[in-house]
Amino acid sequence: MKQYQTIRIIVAALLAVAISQSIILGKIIIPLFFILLAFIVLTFLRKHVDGVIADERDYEVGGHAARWAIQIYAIIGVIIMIPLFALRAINPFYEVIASTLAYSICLLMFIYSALFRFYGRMKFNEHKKTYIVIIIILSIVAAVGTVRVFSGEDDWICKDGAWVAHGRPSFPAPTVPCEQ
Amino acid sequence: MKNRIKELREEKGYTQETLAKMVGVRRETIVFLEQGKYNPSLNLAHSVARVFKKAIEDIFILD
Repeated sequence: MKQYQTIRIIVAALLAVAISQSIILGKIIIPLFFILLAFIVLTFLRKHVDGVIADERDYEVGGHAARWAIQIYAIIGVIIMIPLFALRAINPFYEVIASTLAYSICLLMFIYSALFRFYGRMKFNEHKKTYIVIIIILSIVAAVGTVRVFSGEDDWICKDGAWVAHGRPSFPAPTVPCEQ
Repeated sequence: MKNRIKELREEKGYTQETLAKMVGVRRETIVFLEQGKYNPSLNLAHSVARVFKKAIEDIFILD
């Protein structure tokens, strides 16, 4: 059991290193490969663990920890997001960071609320399937909206030595010279 | 909530590890239960009562 927990920590650390390296190298395939490998290794080891890995007390503690983590993340996110939005005129990238924070907080709240309602009421309800379908549709709409916002459709393009608006960018043209 | 888990466990000669395996929880949970720092679910209380062949109210006493 203790060996499994130690290996789990080591795997998590290696995964963090792999993901950070992939960000530096700009390659997506590395973390995907390592996530899959870690999942296989941990699933294999878990089957060979003699004893209880997590019990009802762990789930209770985990529930408290998760609720606090969500609240703290949301509060810190909002505190950082507001000044970033306010300062977007100084640097347009601040708006991108603020939007990312805003969307991640909203998504987290959405998932939490959906799961809370599901486990609190809908799991025992005869309309369970309808609820799941509505959540899936809302998730798809939210995902499409997110992709639309972060797709770079509304941006400034350097054309013939001048910044030309592509779509309807919400931030001003870059102040750096446009050189092709 | 108070309980007689430690007393009954020692009476039976079980270690915390053994009892934990018998009721399907981690040893730490038995430690917290014995110290009265954790209130078990009805399922766990039932499992503990079954191990000691006693009624739940004979093991768990409301303050």
